[in-house]
Amino acid sequence: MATEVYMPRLTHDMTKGRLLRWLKNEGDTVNQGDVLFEVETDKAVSGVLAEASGRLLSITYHENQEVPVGAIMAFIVEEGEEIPSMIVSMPQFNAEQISRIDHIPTEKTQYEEDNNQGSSSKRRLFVTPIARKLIRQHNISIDQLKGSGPRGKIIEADILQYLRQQENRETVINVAQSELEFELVELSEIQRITGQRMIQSATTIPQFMLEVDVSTEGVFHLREFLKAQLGIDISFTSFLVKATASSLKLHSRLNASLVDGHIHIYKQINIGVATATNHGLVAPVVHNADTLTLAQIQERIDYFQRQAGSKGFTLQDLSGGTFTISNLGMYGIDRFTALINPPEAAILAVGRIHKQVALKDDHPVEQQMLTLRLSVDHRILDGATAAPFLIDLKKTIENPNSIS
Amino acid sequence: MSMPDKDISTRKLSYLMAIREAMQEEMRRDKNVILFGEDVERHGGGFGVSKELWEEFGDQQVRNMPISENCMAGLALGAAMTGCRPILEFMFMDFSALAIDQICNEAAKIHYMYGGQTNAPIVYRCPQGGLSYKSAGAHHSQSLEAWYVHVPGLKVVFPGTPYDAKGLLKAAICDPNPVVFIEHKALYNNEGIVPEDEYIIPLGKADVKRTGSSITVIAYGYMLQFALEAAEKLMPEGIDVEIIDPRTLNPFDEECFFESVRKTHRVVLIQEACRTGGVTAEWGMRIEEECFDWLDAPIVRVAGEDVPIPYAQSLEEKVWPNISKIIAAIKNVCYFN
Repeated sequence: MATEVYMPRLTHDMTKGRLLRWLKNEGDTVNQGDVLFEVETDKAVSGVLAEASGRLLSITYHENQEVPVGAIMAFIVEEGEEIPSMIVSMPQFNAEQISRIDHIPTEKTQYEEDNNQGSSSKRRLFVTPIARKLIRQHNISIDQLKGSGPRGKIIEADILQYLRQQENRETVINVAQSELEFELVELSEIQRITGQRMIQSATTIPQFMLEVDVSTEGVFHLREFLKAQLGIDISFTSFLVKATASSLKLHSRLNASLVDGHIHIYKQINIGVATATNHGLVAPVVHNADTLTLAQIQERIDYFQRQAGSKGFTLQDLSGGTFTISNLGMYGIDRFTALINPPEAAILAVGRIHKQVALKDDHPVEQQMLTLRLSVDHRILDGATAAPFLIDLKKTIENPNSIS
Repeated sequence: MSMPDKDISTRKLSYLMAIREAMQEEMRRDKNVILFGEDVERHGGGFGVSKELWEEFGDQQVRNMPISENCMAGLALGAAMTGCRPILEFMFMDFSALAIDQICNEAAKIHYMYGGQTNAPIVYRCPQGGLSYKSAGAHHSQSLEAWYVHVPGLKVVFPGTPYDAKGLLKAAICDPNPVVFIEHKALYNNEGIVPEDEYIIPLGKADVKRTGSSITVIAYGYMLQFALEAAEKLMPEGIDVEIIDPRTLNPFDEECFFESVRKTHRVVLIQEACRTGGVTAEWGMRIEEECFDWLDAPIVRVAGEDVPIPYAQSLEEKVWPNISKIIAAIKNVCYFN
């Protein structure tokens, strides 16, 4: 039997939710547990998971629409199954269905009353005779059509437009598949995994970004000092790992994961450093970075560089990260947005160090600057809780002698 | 009879003169073609249509009648049954009501009642309609084609151009059974190309006055002018109107309607006559029966209001269809809002 996709009751007093976006499209194959769509209530944005596997069909609500709790928004249909009916009816409120997502309605809501009143009336789909004829002739699924006539009536023009779109799509596919020449490149295992994790990141984590410009004059002088006095060459990345670990210690909520609706704040600070290899992108981890000295971190970073160019990393090297730094400064990038490395709470994107004119005591001075952009999981933090971390990090970098 | 190419000829004639020329040619061809009516001799009838015919054909073929429509129609029927081919002019179609028993109960049924042993080749020429005839009032402005369309045994013809008027009248005169030939008073002075060469337009054949792809507009009589004008105004907006003039209202050329509707999928029907019980209701219904699966919108009519025609010009103007009402209906049916 086709499985109904409906608007869940996410909070006990919720009567409707704003459908933010579909993460699956009409006709997509979905697996049980896939995130189907995102809902915004007055309290939060949540992803709603598929309760069954099959094809997602008959999407009746569109993005940014307000959807009443319990309203059927689509169906998940198994191979060979039919969509229940062309006539879309509002479903009966079903307490059992709602309880499946662990939110038991505790009071009778406005929606239930509305729904009971309206349960006998069905919403009729209007289709003009010629449109019906064309639908039959071209074997079009009526759910793929949007009516542009009065009362949403499907008219001939809608069918003709649909057919034109299909034709264009086929043309594009034909060009892509048969007319363009290409070289076949297989994805490496790392690229394949990275791809999956980035899909997960981009589609399931609501991310927001915070950005600060940071002066690196202090770091520059410190590096010169260490080199001259102690003969140690500390890279900027190493310094950044140290500074970040130090700030994370003060703002531990960024060193965290969301697990089954709970936040796990980690005691260890394990910083992954995004590193390009011949096989793809990896993030080897500087474990317990907050407890290491700059020299120890530098040793670890040197090791990463050697491994990246040769035999690669061990599982040990790559596991246990709680926060990631991605530095594209050496590639000449001014600033960029990094996607969070799930299940971490945030990722720091580091741009290149460059000279800029800045004001110091009201006088223009030349300064070395860079831009830090932090991507944050909005389910774990918000702007107000994430900002102090970034400001603290900025201060640490600008006054590097304060690092312990 | 061959159909002359109307695109080659450049002779222009008014609707009135085209009707006169048709009568003249038929009266010359056949001395049994005779004209009856009020003041048809020297005065040329109510609107001067038959001027000069009495001078040419004399009393034998052109006769004034007393003001008694019932008597005139009875006389015409008797003449028809005894070998003449009378043309009977009513000064206003409105007054054909006085002759309706002779027309509908006698002439229309003669061929049937006598098992084909006799017939009544009569043409009833009926000037009707309003529009340019401002303030003609409730008794001189009506459009009454639906009365006669409803009678089996009568043919009803209503030309909308000079070319059609001549060709159709000649066909009506030649027809062995009674024909109600409606002339629109406001069209009498409209000019159009009418070739010198003889031609006849068969009854029951519609004419596509404008080919188009977006919508079928069926219009006749004076409404054809409005439809053509509306079509030109809609063209820049991307609505390409096909206009059909049925020309013969009964029997009407339904196949022509169907063919057009199966192409355009949308229909607007226009009649000057008041809406209720009008001929467009019949046509719309036939289209619905035969072309339902081709329709993309409801069949819509633009028609006169269901009121006696007012004397006051300000009210009179509101009664009839006009170009803006027609444009609105077409846009609505094309979902063009």
